[in-house]
Amino acid sequence: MKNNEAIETVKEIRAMMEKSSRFLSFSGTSAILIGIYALIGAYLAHGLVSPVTQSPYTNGISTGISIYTLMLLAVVVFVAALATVLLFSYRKAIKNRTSFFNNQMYRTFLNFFLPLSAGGIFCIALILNGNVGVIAPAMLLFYGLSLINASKYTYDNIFWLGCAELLLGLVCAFFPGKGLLFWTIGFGILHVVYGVYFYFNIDRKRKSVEA
Amino acid sequence: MITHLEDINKAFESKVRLGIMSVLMVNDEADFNTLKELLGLTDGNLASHTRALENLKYIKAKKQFVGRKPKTTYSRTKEGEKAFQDHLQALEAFLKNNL
Repeated sequence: MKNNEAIETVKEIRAMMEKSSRFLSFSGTSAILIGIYALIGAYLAHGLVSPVTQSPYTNGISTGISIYTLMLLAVVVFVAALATVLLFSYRKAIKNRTSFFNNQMYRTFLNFFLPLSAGGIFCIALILNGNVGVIAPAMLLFYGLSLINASKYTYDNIFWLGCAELLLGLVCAFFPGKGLLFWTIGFGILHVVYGVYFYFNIDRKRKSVEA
Repeated sequence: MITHLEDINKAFESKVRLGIMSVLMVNDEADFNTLKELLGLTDGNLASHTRALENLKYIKAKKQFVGRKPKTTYSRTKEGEKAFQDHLQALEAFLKNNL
């Protein structure tokens, strides 16, 4: 056995362990699209929430109408984002001839949605109690934690996206009234940046290997 | 160097068998189709390699029916785990000696 051969073998073992234990059907394009949905959502929201952002501690009752419209908008953005991720991941799984509904996928989604659902319910409680000013940091924090949690079962680099969201959420918490701005950076711009990075470093590389 | 070479397990000379063991080291179990997909093999090819590993008692198979379809799930055994770890150590030692 030659040296190169041994190194090659170790590499193969590593690759096989990685491939079989992680959910690798994620596509960079979907992250870019999510970012764009969030940017559109934020633009639309900007018109709706001007009174909220101007006075961060506004009681929920006085801004009742815009808050519910805003919630609806957030739900629409969220559903569109989720559908996009599922669709693109499913397509990538088919393209790579791997199954989409496998253990790794269930584990990734479970570990992502568990903290995220808790965050979602927490945000609903915040809205009902009229704590509108802390919703944006709470969303960013819980989203960041969900990403970090899920990163163990999928691409490592999602960990860094999670950290960035977490950091942004913390900074946001110190700037009441700037929630929408931080929300736009976190859910819009960071996703686009991450998606572009992912596309050039992972999607494209994979294509060139296959070619 | 020769002593290290002796430790390198003959059963793992085949890339397919090494691949099967790698998958089963990080997953408690994997079914036949998953393995086939991961390793990019045909039914017959994979079956002959899993049989070889089964005969060595490195992996064990569990057969069950899902509806009318038979489903075979494989998992590693204690012996298999030990053999694989020894193999990795031998590889590591071999690389260290040759660097």
